Amino acid sequence: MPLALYQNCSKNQLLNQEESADLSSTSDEYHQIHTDHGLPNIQKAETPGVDFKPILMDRLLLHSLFVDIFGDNAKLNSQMKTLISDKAVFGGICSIYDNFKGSSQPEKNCANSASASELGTTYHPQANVLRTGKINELCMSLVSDPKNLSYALSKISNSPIPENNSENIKKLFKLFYREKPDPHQGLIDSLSFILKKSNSDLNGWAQILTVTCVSSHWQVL
Amino acid sequence: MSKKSTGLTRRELLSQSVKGLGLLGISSALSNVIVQSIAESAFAQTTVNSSKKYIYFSFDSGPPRWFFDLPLTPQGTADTFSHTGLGTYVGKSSTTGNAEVFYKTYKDPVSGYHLPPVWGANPKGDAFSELLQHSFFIRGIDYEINNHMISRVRNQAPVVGGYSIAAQLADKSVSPIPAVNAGSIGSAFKSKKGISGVDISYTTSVTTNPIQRVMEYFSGAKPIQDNLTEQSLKEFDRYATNIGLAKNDLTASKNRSDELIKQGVQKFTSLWAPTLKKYEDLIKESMKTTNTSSFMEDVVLTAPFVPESTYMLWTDTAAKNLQIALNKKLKISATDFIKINDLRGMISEATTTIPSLAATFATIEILISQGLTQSFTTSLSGLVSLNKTSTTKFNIQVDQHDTGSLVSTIGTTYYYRAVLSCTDELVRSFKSSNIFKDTVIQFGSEFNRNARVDGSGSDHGYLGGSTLIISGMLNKTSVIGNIKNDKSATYLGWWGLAAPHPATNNKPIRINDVALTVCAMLGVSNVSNNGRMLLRSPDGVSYTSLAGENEQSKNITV
Repeated sequence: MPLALYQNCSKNQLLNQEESADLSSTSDEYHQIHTDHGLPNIQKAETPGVDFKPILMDRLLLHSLFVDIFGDNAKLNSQMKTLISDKAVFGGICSIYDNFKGSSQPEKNCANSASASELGTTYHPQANVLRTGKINELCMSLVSDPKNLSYALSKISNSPIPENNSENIKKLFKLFYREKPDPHQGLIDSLSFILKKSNSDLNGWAQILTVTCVSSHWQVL
Repeated sequence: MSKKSTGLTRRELLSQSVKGLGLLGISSALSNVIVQSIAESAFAQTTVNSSKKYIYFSFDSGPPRWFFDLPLTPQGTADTFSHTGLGTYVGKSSTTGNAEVFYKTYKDPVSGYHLPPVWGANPKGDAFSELLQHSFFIRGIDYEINNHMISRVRNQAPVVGGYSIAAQLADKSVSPIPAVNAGSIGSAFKSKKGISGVDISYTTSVTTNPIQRVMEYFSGAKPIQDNLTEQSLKEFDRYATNIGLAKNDLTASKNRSDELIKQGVQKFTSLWAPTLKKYEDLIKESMKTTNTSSFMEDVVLTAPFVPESTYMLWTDTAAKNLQIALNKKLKISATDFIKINDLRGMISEATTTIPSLAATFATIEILISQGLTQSFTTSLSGLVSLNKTSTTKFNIQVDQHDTGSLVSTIGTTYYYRAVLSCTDELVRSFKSSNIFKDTVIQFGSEFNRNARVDGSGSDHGYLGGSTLIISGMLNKTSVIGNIKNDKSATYLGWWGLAAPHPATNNKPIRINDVALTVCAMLGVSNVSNNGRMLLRSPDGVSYTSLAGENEQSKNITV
């Protein structure tokens, strides 16, 4: 719009008008507006005009992911129920459909709440320390259950204790980092070292499963 | 728009779009102001972290404030005052020999202000001078809405359903826990970023306490800590950076979480017991008759209750009328009365207390001074377990519709004394941790009360309230706000009815003005859509009273 206003003005007139209506203290903006009128092209470092914040998984997606990785037995974990109900920390707004689930899944009921924090719970949660602390705890709790561990490892290999190789480690990685690029060799090697340290036994696989779970970046959508 | 414009910062884009203002004859200086204000409000940088701390205490249900932070005659006898149903001191009437309510003040020797007597009743002796030197009394606030919950919440979020002060600070918080809320005031919390505070209750037992509730997010097993694990986690970070997934927030919050776990839940929860005991002892001290002469005469204060069925049989009309009047002042509910020989015994040193008050202050002290949170809002409950008779107890109403003036004056003053004792200790603790200079403590409520002329109780005085701010950014006692006399027959006299004030465009001070002032002190965006500052900051760090006419605290007779 400012350019349109100056359309029919001569260069000298423009200069005069700019000087009298100088709204900015930087000369760069002065030159910017005159670029189309033939003034020297001043190179300027471009700075982003918009912030970009990746979206994290909300409580419902997190719950669904953990059940997919660790099996239905994971639903029995008490902290999984807290995950669903802790909207404040994990985000994920209330669904009016959830309220029809009634007493069978009370942790999902929230749309009738009057508190500002419930109604204003974010669609897109952001990282916070409480979330990280809880996820850490949940990871360790889920992995420590032999049934959960067995289910997760069955997704990697048919044998109860998968072999320590790149392919299997990649499969473990992909349990969490879905639709993401493959891990680089350094990462695979670091997980392999952890496995080797415990003779690639069940405990070792539990350990790298935990490490992958607490690595946290998989939460970014 | 030219291609070059796509690389503009937001400020540059805005500047470009208002260049046309020059053609409208708006001066460059004014245009700069326009750009600045639009840029700040529309594109406020919320990623700037804050070291400020904010604690908001809500006196839920609206107790009378002339006993606490609504000085009715701050200039002393220079101020006009009269009210037959309200007082601040209980003494022996020279005419009837019974206890009677009088109006007295505590004169602060430093500021010269005449304040409610509770300020001179520190159980440790003398006055609450440590607090007074950092106190800002705002009276004559028109709350506009006569509703408990709406007005309660509006202290935090003046725009109904809008952002709250505590949440604004939480959005800029660098603490592990953005905010903590307790009680009904927690429903006011609304954050621009969509975060929520941790909601706690003050239920305590041998196995649980509020700090544990907060720390249960970190109470799991310690994370695996060895070099291989650390190396692996670094590889994950590298992977995330390479594919553009890396989020500083995620990494930062993970590091802070791990740090908290390393420090151990034990460290924080072990602070609980001694801190709680400290505040419990302070509250017990507050319930003694030590240093109560500023609000209670040190003589036997008799006020014999006589049931209606008895005095109706009296033939002496004057005596009957006196008894009717006295009974009203002894009310503790619509149909019940206090019946003890000496009103000084209303408070039981053994049982009278404020539920969860000690737990509240212990929680705040630990969470704030340990850096676990920067933003804390909490509701406070009322005084309980006072002596009704020699064998029975009663709880004093907070919403004192049916609390007689004799009961209200003694009971409510003791209540505020306990609150101030705990606040005094909290401030000392913050000073020793060197965080008080960045702290704002605020006391608010849904409204004040308008006392009935017959001393039988008080109703919702939403047209004339008060709030108290105590902060290390304040270095002297200040009182602002004008009040006027109520001319209605029921509430005739001075109870704090708000009057116009020059600092607020010759309208009464409103909650928007208070909110703006607090937001400015905390360095956060205003939560209301307007408002006038009630303080000024000469140096950008400390705050002081407004200058000239704008700092007035007058009693205006209408």
